[in-house]
Amino acid sequence: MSAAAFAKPYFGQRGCPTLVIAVFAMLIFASGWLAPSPASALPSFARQTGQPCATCHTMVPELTPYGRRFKLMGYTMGGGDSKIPPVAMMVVTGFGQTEAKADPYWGPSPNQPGLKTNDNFITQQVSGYYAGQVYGNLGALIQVTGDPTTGAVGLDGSDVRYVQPISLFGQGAYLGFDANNAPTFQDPWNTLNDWGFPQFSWNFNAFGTPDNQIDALQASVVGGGMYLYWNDLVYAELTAYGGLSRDALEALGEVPGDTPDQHKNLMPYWRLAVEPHWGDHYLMVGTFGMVSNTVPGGQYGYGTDRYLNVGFDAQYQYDGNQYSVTLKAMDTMQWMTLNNSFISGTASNVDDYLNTLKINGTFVWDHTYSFSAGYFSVNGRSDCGLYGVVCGNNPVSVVNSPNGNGLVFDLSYSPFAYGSPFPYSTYNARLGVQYTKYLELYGGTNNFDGAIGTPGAGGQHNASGNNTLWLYAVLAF
Amino acid sequence: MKHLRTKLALIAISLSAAGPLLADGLQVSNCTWCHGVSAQGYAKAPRLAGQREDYLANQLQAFASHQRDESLSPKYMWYAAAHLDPATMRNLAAYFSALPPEAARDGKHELAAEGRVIFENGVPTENVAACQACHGPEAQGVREIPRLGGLSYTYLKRRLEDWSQGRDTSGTLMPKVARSLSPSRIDALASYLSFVEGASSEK
Repeated sequence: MSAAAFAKPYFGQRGCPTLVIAVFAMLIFASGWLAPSPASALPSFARQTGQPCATCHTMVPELTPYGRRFKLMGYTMGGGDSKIPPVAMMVVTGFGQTEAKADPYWGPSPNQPGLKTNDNFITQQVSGYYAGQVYGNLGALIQVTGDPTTGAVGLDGSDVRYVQPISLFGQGAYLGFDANNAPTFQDPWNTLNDWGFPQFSWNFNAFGTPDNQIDALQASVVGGGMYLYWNDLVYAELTAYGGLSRDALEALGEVPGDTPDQHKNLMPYWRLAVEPHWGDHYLMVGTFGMVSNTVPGGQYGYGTDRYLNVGFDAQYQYDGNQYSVTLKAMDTMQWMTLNNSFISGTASNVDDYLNTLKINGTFVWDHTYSFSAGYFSVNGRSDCGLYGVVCGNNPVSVVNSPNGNGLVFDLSYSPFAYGSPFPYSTYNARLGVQYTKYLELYGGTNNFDGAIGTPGAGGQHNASGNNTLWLYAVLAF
Repeated sequence: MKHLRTKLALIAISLSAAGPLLADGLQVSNCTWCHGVSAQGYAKAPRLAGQREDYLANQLQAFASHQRDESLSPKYMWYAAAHLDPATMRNLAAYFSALPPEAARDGKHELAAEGRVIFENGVPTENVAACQACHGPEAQGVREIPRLGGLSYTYLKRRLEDWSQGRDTSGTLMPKVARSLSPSRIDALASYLSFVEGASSEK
């Protein structure tokens, strides 16, 4: 699921308009290169609206119907009397233990200074936010995240949006303009890549199921688009993403000398969802997709790898007075035409596919106690170049397979959903325990990467060895 | 397409200069956030469009002073009304009362006829007064007495249940009126009223 040692085929782009880069550059105080992290119930939103976290969140960061509307209306609604600028901070820290300790060959934990091969207490995320109304109808959620284990600091998942109320077909609607750097970050439901369960997870697993391309683009592209939210019922969005040149990536914190993917041409992302509701019951059914073009590692001359993602998702939410139940499902099919990777020898097939499925549910009592359970599955066409031990590019699967699946369980406690007893009343915290069980990884359960070495030196890993227990705390100021 | 993102950025900047989500100088979006794009109600939040101006203003004051204290008020509206001055309350009430109301039509069809009888005649044998006596023959309300016609079934049902169970005693007669209503009567009444279309909006 989470941070994977397995390096996927590279995807990249180039040619981002200078203006967009400049806008983002002005909005952040530091720059860097990170995988996106979730923004929790932000105290700046609570100060601005005068509402407690519980108004918008069943349990941070999962959204209630009003939380979704707050996002779709551009983070601009008020009601509070705070004069503090819309800034906030969040820290994610915890103790992680995997069933089998990491070994030097597979890392990455033992390869990072100060980390042990297991039983690590790690603060894995420190984020700063500018989150709230900028001016008038213009709002933003700008997130700068630092990873204390590496020292990297950079622009995390962020969006800026302007929303105008209009009338369409005799009904009220909101027309939004949105700029963001992570496809699906802008989505108001908790089904898709960025905000899907689990929103927080241990970042230091040795293995993980392969990401799909939408995941791989997170925080590495810039996009601008429009959306329409009509009659509290229909949501339609079209956003075009562009890649960042290598120079731009380095300006944003990519380590000089790295060979990040380059992404070519505009890459369209689309989203359509309907959310009828009956009383306190809300049902969303939607579809989404994206076309992207990548030059892996920025190695031109071999053509591009082309990806088509088409997904369907659904969410049912009961948002009652005392408790809430949220059930979510998302399935994304990815078709790949890997011209570049095939010619350059990092893929064995020109055409591959990868399917990602997530089904999960969350029960929350009074916005305070939550229990979540989820199933995740990835399956796709076997490809020796991409996954196989024999071909050697990413030697993780003895049967050349990306297939994997598992379960996630999460229990958490949020003591301050209705405000903290401290003078700083919008302080927020979530304390929890999460267990991730891997049933299959890379087409196998035991010894999925084959006997190419002895344990501790590569090979002979079992899916269950990746099982992870994480005791965590999310603190927001 | 070449400069699409640049153009979008410029459009966004231009529109942002046009000002906030204002109507007559009011931060209407702070209300429509929960009460729906056109203030016709959304989820737990009732329709504001077409509601009586005096009623809306009174309720905002009751929220701010915590007099209105039924199940959901402390959770949402106490916060929402906490920083509104009386003039803003009155202006917001005037704005929303002038919007045309639409019926939610989300009640149970099969109970509507029974609900209409209760609304028009009450249930004298059970000490249930006729609703229309105060709320008007078309459930349109008058002065500080609210319009009921077309409000959502879930909202009406919850309010009547709150009163019937002794919650929200903020100075209205409704606890006395509703305490004789059985759950099935409440169901029927809320169902009927959700289908009543907006009538005249004279005050």
